[in-house]
Amino acid sequence: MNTEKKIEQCLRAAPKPPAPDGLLDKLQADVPAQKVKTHRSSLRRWFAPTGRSISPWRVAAAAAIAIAVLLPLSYGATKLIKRFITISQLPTIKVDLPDGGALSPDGRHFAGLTWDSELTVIDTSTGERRNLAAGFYGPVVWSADGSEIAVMKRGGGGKKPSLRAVSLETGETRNLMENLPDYQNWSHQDWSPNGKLILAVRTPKSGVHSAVMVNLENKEETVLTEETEWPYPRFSPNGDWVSYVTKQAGRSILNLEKIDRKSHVKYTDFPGEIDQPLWSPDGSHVVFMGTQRGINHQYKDLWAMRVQGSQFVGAPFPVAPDVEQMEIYNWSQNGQLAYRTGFRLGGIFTLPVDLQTGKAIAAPRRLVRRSGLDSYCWSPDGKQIVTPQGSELSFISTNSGETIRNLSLPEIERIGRGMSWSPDGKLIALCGSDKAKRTGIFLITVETSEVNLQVPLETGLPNLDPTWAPDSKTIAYGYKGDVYVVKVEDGKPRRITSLSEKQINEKVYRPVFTSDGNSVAYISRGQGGQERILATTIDGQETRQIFPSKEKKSSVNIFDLSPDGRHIVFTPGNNKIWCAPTDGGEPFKIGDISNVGGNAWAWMPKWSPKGDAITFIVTCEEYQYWVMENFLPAAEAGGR
Amino acid sequence: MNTRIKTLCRRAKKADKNAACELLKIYYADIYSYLRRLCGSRHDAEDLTQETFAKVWSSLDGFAGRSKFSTWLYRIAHNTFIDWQRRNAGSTQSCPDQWWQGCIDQNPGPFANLAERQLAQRLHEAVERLDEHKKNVVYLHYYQGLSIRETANVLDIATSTVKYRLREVFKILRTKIGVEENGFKQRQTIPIAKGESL
Repeated sequence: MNTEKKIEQCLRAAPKPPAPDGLLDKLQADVPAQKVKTHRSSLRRWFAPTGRSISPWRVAAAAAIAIAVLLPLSYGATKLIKRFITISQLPTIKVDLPDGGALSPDGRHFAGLTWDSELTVIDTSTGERRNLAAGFYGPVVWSADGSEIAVMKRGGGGKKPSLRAVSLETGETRNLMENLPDYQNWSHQDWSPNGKLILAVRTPKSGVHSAVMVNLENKEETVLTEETEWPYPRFSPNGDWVSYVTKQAGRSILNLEKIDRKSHVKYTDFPGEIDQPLWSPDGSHVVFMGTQRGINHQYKDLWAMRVQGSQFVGAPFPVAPDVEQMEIYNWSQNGQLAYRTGFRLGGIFTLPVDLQTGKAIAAPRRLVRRSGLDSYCWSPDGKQIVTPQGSELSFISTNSGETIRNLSLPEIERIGRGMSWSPDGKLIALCGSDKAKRTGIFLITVETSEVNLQVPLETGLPNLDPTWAPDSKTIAYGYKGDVYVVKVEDGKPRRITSLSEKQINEKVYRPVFTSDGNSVAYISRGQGGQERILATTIDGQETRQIFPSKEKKSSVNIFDLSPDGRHIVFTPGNNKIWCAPTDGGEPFKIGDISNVGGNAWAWMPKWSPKGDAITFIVTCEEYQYWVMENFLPAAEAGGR
Repeated sequence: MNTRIKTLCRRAKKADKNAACELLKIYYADIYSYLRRLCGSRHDAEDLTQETFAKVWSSLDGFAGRSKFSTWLYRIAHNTFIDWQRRNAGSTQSCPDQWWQGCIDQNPGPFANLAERQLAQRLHEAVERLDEHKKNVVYLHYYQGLSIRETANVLDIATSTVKYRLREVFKILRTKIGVEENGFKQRQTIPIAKGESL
């Protein structure tokens, strides 16, 4: 049976909610006993005023009115309705741009970042694609004249990330800002029309986002607001104003603030959430994604708000319904609102392996179907894996893939990358932040779901990859480019990697305890992005290289050790899963998920406690790029 | 329209309480189940069913019989729900109860094996996540068994719009369950990689 028929059969066979007992009695009691009053339709009353036959004179009069009045009126109305919303896909974009994109001011080019961090520019009419430069990340922002594109350049080689302007014509870059924090702590959002100011969001720690305006000449930074949610700052088309979103007493507030900070207006009456506000090219409106309170949370519409002078005019009005899957990019000066729609699918797969050789002994199979997976870990007995879902932990059978139970964690607001179940089975270590805005390593008691902040840490994105020692007494984690260990009983962290052991500016992260508990293995990323796996004893005294055995450029990305310590499994960030002996042997491929989808990639491999299987997360994203035009009422005077 | 329903309508218009009760017996469970799905709560659905039938009795005289009685009834129920939703904007629950989950587990019925039960459950979950417009056409056409034309009449839209929305629904549902299908295929087709060097 094909999928469509199967879906149709399931839908037709859907059970109906049964009517409750006693409802029929209630309804029968409501049936009126007296005769319902008869009434005639108004049309009938007009045509037959006496209540008898239809008057021919009245019919003739109605025809005359229709010809003389209604027809011209309708003709006029048709002429008035000149504006039609046009929604069209950009079929020329045949590449996924997961890290952001934007339409050039004249709408002729679409720039975006590919999976390989390449800044690519696509001609929207011919589909011709040009890679401008590589090694970029973050949002893509065009200069007002369309000659340059602002993107973040990765750090490395002793340098911190920088904001660069890449020439559309030549691909040459120039520095706009240097020595910026990592991508999780700083993200540029907009570039003023005169090219002198940058709007960015600074995230000093988890749950704190500041909208900042930076003067590119003197690097002076002005904090516009500090929020718990993303403020989406944007310049008005003439560059005199900035819009952003704030929250007050649970209400979303749309703000307009003059860049000299001398004027500030707020719209506080929208009954719901405001996301992604964006100026129309003529400055007459601000549109935003709005989720109305009281309606299903996923029911998002595109709303518009008129702006005149320094004031909002009237109330917001919906301009396009059901836009929950939209990610708005930008609104080009030629009137095209560019956005992306798409799905992120994925799950956890399991691959049976031979512990002795590290080789796969069967094909991988899907264990869990879920998107947006960032963390999971095995239970010490190998019978379950646990993964976060919202503010719960789901315990899933490694045999059947069925959810065995859920553990509610109401205090936890956000769970970061990496979690680990203590070998004695009592505690789960995870990183994240709680509702009191504390960030760090939390310990969850599996039996009682009690939550304790074991190590408080200041970090924007809590991706700390905690890992338990075999004795269940010590945890190792990665923090700000170093590896730390902490004993559960005293909670005092100790750094085991040090500058003397590392090359300067080399970063180490994603630690994994070795099976003997004496060392912690971790990834070390050096100059030029080369990655090695090192292991340092927990007293920090000795460090040895586990992989690669020879000095050659390699990408590990994320790895795990086999329970006997004889192999590593790693996923370099594509559709392959690799294994390598830790005694210096050559790596070999053990899995390939290219059949899942063109854009599928595997990551976060975990070896089962018994060593008989490797699990890994698969993510597959499919996107489409669209533009929407003419969806606002005709612009009125007074735009910015 | 079915002769029996026609006769019952005619009698109910003439204040024949028995006929009205007969009509009630025929339709109340369907209307309740439709409203229950829409509003997501048992108590609200009961109130809305009462409100719907109150409107039916007060406007029965205006029912000219150009459409099926059931279509007319569903349209009143739908409008009653819309009014209720507007009245309660800001206080309605954002996450309706998933009554059917228990229903599927307890009553295997057409979902005889586990895989099919899971598929059905996932489909129902996916339908609940659709936007209101798409959800409405699924509720009426598939869950309540109305034809495309009747669905269009209830929702006051063109039949082509209903067809378009159903196509969109299938596209979304196919995508949502497609990964699982791929997973099954993949089990058979992914080769075990052998000794390739990095």
